[in-house]
Amino acid sequence: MSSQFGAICDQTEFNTNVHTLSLTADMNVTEKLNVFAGALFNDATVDWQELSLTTPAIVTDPVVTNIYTFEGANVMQNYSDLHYQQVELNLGGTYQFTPALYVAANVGWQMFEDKQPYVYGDQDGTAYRGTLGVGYKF
Amino acid sequence: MHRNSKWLLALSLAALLAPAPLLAAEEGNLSGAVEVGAAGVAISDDAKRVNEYSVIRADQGVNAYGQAEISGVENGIAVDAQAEYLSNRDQQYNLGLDVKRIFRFDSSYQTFLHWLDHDQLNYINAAIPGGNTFPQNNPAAGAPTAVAGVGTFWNLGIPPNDNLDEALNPNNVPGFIGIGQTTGTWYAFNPAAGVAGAPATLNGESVTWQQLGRASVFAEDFVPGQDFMIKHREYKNRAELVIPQLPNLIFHAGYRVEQREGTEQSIGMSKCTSCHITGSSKEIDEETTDLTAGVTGKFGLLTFDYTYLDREFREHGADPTRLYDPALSPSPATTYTPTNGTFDNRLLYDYEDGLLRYDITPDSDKESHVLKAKVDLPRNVSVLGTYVKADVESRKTDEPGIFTLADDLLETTYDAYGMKAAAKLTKDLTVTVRGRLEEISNDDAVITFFPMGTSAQPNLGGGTLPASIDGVRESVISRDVMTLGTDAVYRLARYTTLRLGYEYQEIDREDEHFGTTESHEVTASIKARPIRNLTTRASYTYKNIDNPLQNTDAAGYIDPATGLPYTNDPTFNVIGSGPLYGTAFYDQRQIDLSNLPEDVHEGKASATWSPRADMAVTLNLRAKFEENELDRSTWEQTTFVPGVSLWYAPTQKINLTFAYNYLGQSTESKFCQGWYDG
Repeated sequence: MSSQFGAICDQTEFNTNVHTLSLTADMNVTEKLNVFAGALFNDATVDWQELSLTTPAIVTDPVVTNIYTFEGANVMQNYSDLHYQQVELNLGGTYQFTPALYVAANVGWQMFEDKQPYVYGDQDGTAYRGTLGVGYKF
Repeated sequence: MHRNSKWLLALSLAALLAPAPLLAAEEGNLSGAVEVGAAGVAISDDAKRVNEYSVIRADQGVNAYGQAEISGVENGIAVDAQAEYLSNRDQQYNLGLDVKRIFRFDSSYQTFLHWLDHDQLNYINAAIPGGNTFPQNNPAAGAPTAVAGVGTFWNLGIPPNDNLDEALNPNNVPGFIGIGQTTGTWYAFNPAAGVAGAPATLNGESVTWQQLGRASVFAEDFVPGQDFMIKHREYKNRAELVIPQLPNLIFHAGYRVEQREGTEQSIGMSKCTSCHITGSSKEIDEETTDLTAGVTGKFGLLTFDYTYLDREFREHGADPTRLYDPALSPSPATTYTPTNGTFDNRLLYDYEDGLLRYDITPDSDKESHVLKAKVDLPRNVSVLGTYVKADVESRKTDEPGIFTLADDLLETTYDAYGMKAAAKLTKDLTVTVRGRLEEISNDDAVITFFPMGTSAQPNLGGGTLPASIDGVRESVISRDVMTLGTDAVYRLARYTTLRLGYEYQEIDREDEHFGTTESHEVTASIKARPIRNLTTRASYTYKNIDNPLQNTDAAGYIDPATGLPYTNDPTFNVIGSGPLYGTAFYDQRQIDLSNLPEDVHEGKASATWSPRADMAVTLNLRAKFEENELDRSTWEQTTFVPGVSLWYAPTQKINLTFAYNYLGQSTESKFCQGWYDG
């Protein structure tokens, strides 16, 4: 190493904010028809702030001042910027033809939006799900 | 006969989803349902978040599904079974059987698929380019001077000067940088092909040189298009038997098999001359088998339970292998060939060793004995004692010729003794005292390393390396833990209860570097119903931890002579073979870092208001403040979690729920970046 070396430090802040909202409804619309619905919304953010490294005034070594960049290291805090949003909707129901025989149906929609893709790439995705069946109780 | 056939039918239904008409004629105590139909999934873009744990199907498509349930009691025999088949990757079956309370059997099987993330490895690229880029677009360096058979150099002048600052930048790095010892002139130098280093003299003065360039960190994903996923299967069984002649005893036994099959991403790294990170895939074929046996007994005031567990974990998948990069000096003169051994004296293995195993999951075995006993004494006094003894063996893998292990079977033992006594001292006061002693002992790993090179690097004094080097990796798991606590619950009024608690814990680690952690925790909570429709709870906890597990001397740098966070000692060579990183820099770090608190304040409050029989509102709040005043740094974390939920049933046929939760967490910590040239 040269005659000049040391370390610079900064007090930094890491913030997480998560909002989750859910709604459900379950209704006996008629004696034969039961319907349920659900909605879920989730928003999550993470960020790293206040990293501000600067070249120490003591540094006069041209190799350090020119080839290494202290200020350039501050960009790493942007790597931790994450932002996800997720929405999930479900609707389903059963219809009783008789007290024993019924038909059941469910549909669902789920959306994940990756607003700050990073390590795992863009994880945006949408899924549709559905079931349709007939049942018998005894 | 008719009843027997009914039970056989019930079991068949659970397992085989028998069609409904077969059951239509059944009657009596048997009830259930069967449902069949079609299920489908459509996915656009990435499936790993919207279908991380497969629901219905692992991928898009449509298939038939079926589900059934059945339960009933007949002649003292009860059965309860459920079956759900959504696709070949998503299935669940449960069976419960009770034969006249003499024999009980519970069994379940579940399978699902878990999509795993794929690290793109496309963000790790940092490099100081080789010397051949220095002349490009760099007029500030001035005209080069070529010396035949030696190389090319540039006179950058005496600092400070603008020309030098402009010529040296991260995109224009020479192979060597040097300082003339007579004039103080700075030189940039690129050696000629085949030349190993820089000349001792230049322009008639001796020059101290330092090598630059070619250092890099970069990553490659060898399987960029591969999906990683694990198929989980778990089969659980538990049986209980009461022998009529021994009515005070219940014998129980269990059998569980958990399997994980698929592929995971496997990340490895070569060192020298570059940090070369690579991503590949790894076959997973894990099986965990648990066998349990024990007995529960009740004799008057005494109740006890003993359980023995034998667990076997095996990874049947092949160990991943990789080729490591050749150990090369970053010198611009280095010839990049697989057999070049310029840095062999710094590493244990490289390209010449061929395919080597890495990212290995060790097989392990565990045995445990758990004994619990409780005595219910008169006047509402009870005493509970527990004893746990466990032994875990983990089979490690060595690499003969590179490193060997004195013992490839590392053992961890755990012994715990616990006692809890509770007494209702008065009509309104209940007091509990508890204590627990735990002893964890883990073998140290004794490793023998076999260096590649025969000579140590010059900065370490050179000389001949021994054929092998022994090392001991002390376990940080070995420790004794003592926990003592007491709680008092006092009924202040008819609907108001106050609880006060205290707990002391001491963790005495065998590794003296991490020492002993002591903690004291006090808790006060109150539960009250101030008015008829309002229920409230509130609690406060304070915990003080002395010497939590932390990384001492983890970062920063303090000059031992000046106390300043840098060194500017002219007795060190400005350029050249100056002080070593290890002794001059890393050994002088004095900033402690941790993500564990010394002081914790936590408050919780909740209130449920039920103004009407068809409506309830709950508000809750949790706030936590944690702090650690470390040597030369501070760590703080504030957590705030409010929430509200509402249930409303406007008619008997409609149920509505609403819930909102927020999590806010802020963490402050010191970040340090070392800086040095060389």
